[in-house]
Amino acid sequence: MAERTPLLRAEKVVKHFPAGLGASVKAVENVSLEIYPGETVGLVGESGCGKSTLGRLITQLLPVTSGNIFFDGVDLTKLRGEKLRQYRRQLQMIFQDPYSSLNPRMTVGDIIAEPLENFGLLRGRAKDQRVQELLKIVGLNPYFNNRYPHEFSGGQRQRIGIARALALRPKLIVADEPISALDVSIQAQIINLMEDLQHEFQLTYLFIAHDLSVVRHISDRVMVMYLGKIVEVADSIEIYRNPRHPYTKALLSAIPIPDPEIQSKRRIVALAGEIPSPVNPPSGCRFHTRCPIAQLPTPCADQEPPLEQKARDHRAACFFSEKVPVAV
Amino acid sequence: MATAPGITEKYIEETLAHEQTSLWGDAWRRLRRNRLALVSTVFLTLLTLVAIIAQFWTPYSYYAQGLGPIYQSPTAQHWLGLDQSGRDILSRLMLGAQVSLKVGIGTQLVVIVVGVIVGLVAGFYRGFLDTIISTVINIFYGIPDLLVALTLVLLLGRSLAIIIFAIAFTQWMNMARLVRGQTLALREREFVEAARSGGAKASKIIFRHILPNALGPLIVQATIGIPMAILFEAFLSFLGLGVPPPTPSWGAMAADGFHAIRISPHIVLAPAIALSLTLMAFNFLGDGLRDALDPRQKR
Repeated sequence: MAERTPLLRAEKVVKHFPAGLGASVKAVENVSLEIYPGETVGLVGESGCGKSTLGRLITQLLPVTSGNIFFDGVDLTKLRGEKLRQYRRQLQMIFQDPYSSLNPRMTVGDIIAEPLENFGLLRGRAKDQRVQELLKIVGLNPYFNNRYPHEFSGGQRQRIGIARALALRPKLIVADEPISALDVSIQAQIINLMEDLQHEFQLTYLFIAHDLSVVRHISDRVMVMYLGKIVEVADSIEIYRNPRHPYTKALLSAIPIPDPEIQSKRRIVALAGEIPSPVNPPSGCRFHTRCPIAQLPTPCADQEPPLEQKARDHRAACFFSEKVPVAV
Repeated sequence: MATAPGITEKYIEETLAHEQTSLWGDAWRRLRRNRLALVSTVFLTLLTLVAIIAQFWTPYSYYAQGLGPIYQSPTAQHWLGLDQSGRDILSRLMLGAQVSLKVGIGTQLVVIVVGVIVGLVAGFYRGFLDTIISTVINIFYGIPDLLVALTLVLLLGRSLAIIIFAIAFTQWMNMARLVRGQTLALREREFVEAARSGGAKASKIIFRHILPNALGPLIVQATIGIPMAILFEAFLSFLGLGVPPPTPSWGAMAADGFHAIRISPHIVLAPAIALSLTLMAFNFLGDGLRDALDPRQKR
């Protein structure tokens, strides 16, 4: 994988939100990542760890505080106005909340057609046909184009959001927890639809979730984020078998196993305490306040562990990654 | 893009074909169920008809004096009696409805234009512009309404247009503040992010995504603003600073009869009752619209 050129490369991306009185929320801190064409990268972490912010930085819905984001070799962070607008065609987003992501005053057809109009791609009947085709592709009745979003269920609305994202034939789709607002039975349908669409249209996904079991199913590679930093990146099979960061280990052990025998025998690595405030993150390794294997104060509380190669296609940011217990 | 027959067949869901509804249609159905709002709508429709008819026909001329004994109580010829100059009160009341409606609706049109523009700009662009606009709004709230209106009318003269302008001058901040708040909330919604991601320009985001979704509260605010404007005009007229005579205004008619309230209360009562009913109708309609347009906020 390393010899291919990445579709998207983020370099030392930082995002701070002003929080008044000179303080700032350090939502994303020095994140570098690559996404290769055709792959699905899973991005997981707790609520508030900055994963949604990172997704919005990559799609340039939020400006970076510092750092660069290269898409097809072009630095998106340097683009403004019309040039950036032209690049938006390549980068689309699927949103978490299917209720808030569709304008309630517009018909489904208008919602899906809007990106096409914005770029003057299709007009009149050709546009209507394309909208109906898109509805069909995501598994909705093409004659529902003049209905309003409130007439649809959550799963159907998420399909409408996917159709809108597909309208511009993007290369990269950032899916921000696309299924966490849906019923479990509907979740599988949407995941399968997204996988089918990926094969059909050669899409690349950045799939954001807070649930490792969902990510395991869909991803080629998984990145784990904690408090604005990426702590571990690996092949998705590798990361489940052999996590090298204690935080990943804890997340994995929180996935319930649907077998009471095994579940009761598991050693659960429960984390103590809450996620620290991103306004004032802990020194050194940001995880040291909750880490079961941290050696305090040195080195964990005063040095920051780099994200290093631990095995083939496996990087982790931990001084004691060999001490992380093996998976269940 | 090639269609994907495999995907199509696999995922097409059967959806119950129910009656197609728009959000406005839903709101209208909820409004019709509110009896008070419905009665108010009927009353206001009749009032509007009366005002239109008065343009072409009134039982008597509204300015003809000495149609009978002055201060005459209601009779078969003059249903609401005669005033201190022997003028027919019913005819004057009908024409007075014109003034009230023109002032109420005219003021709100000005308020909507100013308030929406100012509110959208402040809420959408935020930052320095918003700070300036919000400060100006707060300063305007600090100035007594009556003082502003009286000064404007005294300086610019007593015409209907100037009265409308003067009242709008004291009311635009309510609308601006409402639209600003709505815009601030709506611009963070995911469908606005989606629109940006889909390459929508600022003008499209504002007029297609933000404004249509702020329309409900905006209509309610305008409906509540109408009776405020009507009352303000009646008050100005009562003080003798409303539309110039002989054009009848309900406020001026009440002022005319005020000195004779003990001997012939009908002169005051007729315009006072008309005014009260109109104000109540607009307020009930405003309440009804608020419940119909935003059912979650129902008190």
